[in-house]
Amino acid sequence: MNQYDAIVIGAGHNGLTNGAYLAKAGLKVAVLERNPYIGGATVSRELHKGWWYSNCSYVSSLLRPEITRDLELPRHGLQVVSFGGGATFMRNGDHFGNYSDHDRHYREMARHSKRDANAYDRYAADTSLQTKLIRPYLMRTPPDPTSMKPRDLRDLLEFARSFMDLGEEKLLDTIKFWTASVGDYLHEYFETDVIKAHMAGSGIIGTALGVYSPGTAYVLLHHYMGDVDGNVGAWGFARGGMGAIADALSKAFQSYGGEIICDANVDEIIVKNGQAAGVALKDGTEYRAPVVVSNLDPKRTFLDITNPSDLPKDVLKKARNFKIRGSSGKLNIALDGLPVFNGLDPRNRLMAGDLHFSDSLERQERAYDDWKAGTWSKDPYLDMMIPSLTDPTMAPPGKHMMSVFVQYAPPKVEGREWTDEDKDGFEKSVIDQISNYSPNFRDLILHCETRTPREIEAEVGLTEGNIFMGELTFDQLLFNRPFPGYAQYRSPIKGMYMCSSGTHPGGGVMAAPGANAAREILADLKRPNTVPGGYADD
Amino acid sequence: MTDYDAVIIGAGHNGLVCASYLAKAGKQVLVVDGRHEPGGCASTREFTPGFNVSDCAQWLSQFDQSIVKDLDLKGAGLRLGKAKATISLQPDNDHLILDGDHVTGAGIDAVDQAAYRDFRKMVRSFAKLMTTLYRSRPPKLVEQNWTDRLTLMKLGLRLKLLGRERLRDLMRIVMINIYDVMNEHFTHSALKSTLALEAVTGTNMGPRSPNTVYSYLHRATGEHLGQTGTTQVIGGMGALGKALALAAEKQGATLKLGAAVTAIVKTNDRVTGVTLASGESHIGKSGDFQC
Ligand SMILES: Cc1cc2nc3c(=O)[nH]c(=O)nc-3n(C[C@H](O)[C@H](O)[C@H](O)COP(=O)(O)OP(=O)(O)OC[C@H]3O[C@@H](n4cnc5c(N)ncnc54)[C@H](O)[C@@H]3O)c2cc1C
Ligand SMILES: Cc1cc2nc3c(=O)[nH]c(=O)nc-3n(C[C@H](O)[C@H](O)[C@H](O)COP(=O)(O)OP(=O)(O)OC[C@H]3O[C@@H](n4cnc5c(N)ncnc54)[C@H](O)[C@@H]3O)c2cc1C
Repeated sequence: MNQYDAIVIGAGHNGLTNGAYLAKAGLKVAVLERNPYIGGATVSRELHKGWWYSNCSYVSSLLRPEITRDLELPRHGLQVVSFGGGATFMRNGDHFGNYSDHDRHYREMARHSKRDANAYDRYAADTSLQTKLIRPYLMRTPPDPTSMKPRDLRDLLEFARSFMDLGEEKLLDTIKFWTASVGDYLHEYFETDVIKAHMAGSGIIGTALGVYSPGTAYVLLHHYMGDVDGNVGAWGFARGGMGAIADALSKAFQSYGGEIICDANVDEIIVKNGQAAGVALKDGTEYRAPVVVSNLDPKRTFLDITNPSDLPKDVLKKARNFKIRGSSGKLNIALDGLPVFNGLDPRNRLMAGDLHFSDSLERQERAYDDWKAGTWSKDPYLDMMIPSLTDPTMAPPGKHMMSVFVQYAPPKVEGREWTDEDKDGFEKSVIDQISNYSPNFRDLILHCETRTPREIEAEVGLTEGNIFMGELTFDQLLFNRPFPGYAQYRSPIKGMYMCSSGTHPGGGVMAAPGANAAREILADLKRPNTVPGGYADD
Repeated sequence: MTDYDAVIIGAGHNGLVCASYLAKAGKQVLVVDGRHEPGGCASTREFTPGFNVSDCAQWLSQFDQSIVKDLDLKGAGLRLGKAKATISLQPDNDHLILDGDHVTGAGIDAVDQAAYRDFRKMVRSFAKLMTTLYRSRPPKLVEQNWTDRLTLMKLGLRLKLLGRERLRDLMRIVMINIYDVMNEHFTHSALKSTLALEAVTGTNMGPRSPNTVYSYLHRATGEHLGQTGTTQVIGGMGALGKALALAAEKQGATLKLGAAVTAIVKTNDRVTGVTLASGESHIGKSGDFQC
């Protein structure tokens, strides 16, 4: 008998985290995964012999430290190595280097603009204020503003108070920040095109919006609110690729007695008398449990694997209207050696950071215009990294591995499905972009693997290839994620829950949705809570 | 000259309304404007002999009718035309017509017609909420003062009165873009684009820019300000400017046109008057001068 206390559908990092906390509470838990491997978008794969790729997500910062410690992930093999800096190459042969050393950073900024260099500390302080405001809410269930339950009222009041405590002026800054475009926000501080463009990238990654679309300042925050070893805003590489995070989580899960079943493609959630009762696989196998948790995005959860007759009409409508447009692609490239970039000494430590080629907001906005027109960007914004410079285990000695995240690529090309020719065209626009700044790059390519939204959807099951499992706009954040009224990880069906990045606090390798969902499930089961609370910042 | 309690720089429609209320409250008010016509953007101009045009604004849709009454603008000559329908012209002459809650033509089907009625109903309830804010000063959020607290309390109450589902709708759509909202409600493409145009007119945003639903709602507040639909001022928008100027003068305000302000005069961190391009300056009565 395939009888469990809880079944988690999907072995993405959130599914594994959720499973780990349920198992830790003593439940008999199975995680069912469609692919032959675990991790979902948090995965390392050897798709070219000798080269390990972080196939989807490639850098770590958002992963909640509470969870890393609580589940003892380092003991299960996780090591995150932070990288410093990055650069944006300019069309005039110069570049802007984003050094992590404060003084060096100041000098580099001043080389472009003294005024900007002087504004930077103010920018950093203001942005850090926003980060501090949001961080305490990452490991909490959002309150429902329409509810009269004491718990919601209490949490809402507390939430409101943390905003009121800012004082009038800072509160207005905050409102502005949450609603502004990243372009306008940066404009308040900086005058230099390349500096603004360098920073604006974080406001559009994974987002179907442009640098001048309101709401993108928040997306910037989403990329600033993590940390590596307590260093807020820092990003790092997981040694061995992002799959190391999924592996460590799976080991923690298994150490509590959890069971992972791969090649288990869930077809439908079984509901009996309005209560979740288990799942049926495509091959007909059934697994029974009174608790079923979906690690799939809200569209797949409610429109694919749930029988519509088990759902209220409004939820079906909300699921249909859920915004999950793909906007990104990725190239994973095996290189015969280290590429050289115009104007940058290959030994410069900036080489180990994030490298970009869009030197103005104008170019970034134009790249978005292509997306709106239903095609990939002809002058794409790239977030390019060479992880093998930091983690030599990723490629054979002397060789390198390059990860190129591409903004923008539409979920459909001019309204139709992607074709292989489209994919080639997309790939070419990226390779051309890099070659413009690196004369030897093209000759070093040994193997190039291109991921358009089509491939991302097919491999990982991220609908439309949206990397965050739903756009990070205010209508889909906090108590609105995935939809108003259902932001507390419960579905309308008793015993059925959501734990994916499509729930609060959203996408990225964060593990918070999985952990928060576990806390709610354990409360419903009247089991002691095993999920750690959030840390407070100073 | 030191004769005024307040000088208002600019005889735009807002300057004139402000002047009228201050004068009505017994203040001595001077309104100065660099142009020779009152009304600012609410003006009419003869752009070629015999042809007049509303220079900037042409449609009146959000003018608070309580002001029309308070300041007796009808008595000052303001006349409004009938509410206008919106027509989206189609190449095959079967045009789409939006009139109140009804939409007809261009092959629109009953589903979209019903959806349009529902949509209008929703928009009305949100716009009503917004007028709570529009009819008072923008509240400070933290500072303790009763005027603002009261506004916020009224707003909170109105939010609760929306009901749970409506409130959830509002939470979701208030900051998003009109493009998505149109697609959620309608299938008829001319209907979608006609409504979306309202949301982007006068902004530097496109239909896919977040916050365009808000600008749509902003324009929908007119109904709760007592205006039923979009109308034309007879004689062009300048007639509104003229009526307001007349009303202000009737209340006792002084108007000085063709008098551009070059500087605001300050004494000891206090605004005390203005200097005009002619070199003339107006200094307020000691103490309570406002600008
Ligand atoms: C190209 C790309 C780059 C990214 N870069 C970064 C980055 O650098 N840093 C970062 O923090 N985040 C990044 N992200 C975002 C991040 O990877 C995701 O938000 C996160 O990994 C999602 O985790 P999850 O557990 O919620 O879902 P997923 O990882 O998507 O897990 C869902 C799982 O469910 C499985 N599944 C689907 N359907 C079924 C079914 N019917 N039956 C059984 N199993 C099923 C899937 O196979 C998958 O394993 C990136 C994402 C992408 C796609
Ligand atoms: C092309 C256009 C079309 C529009 N269409 C519509 C529409 O159809 N419907 C609608 O509701 N709204 C419309 N609007 C918007 C609307 O007209 C304005 O928002 C509104 O009229 C502004 O009123 P105001 O009183 O605040 O300012 P204004 O009308 O701009 O008044 C400011 C006044 O200050 C004066 N001034 C400036 N500097 C000085 C100085 N130094 N010294 C003295 N005086 C000075 C100016 O001469 C002017 O008279 C439109 C605007 C434009 C430009």
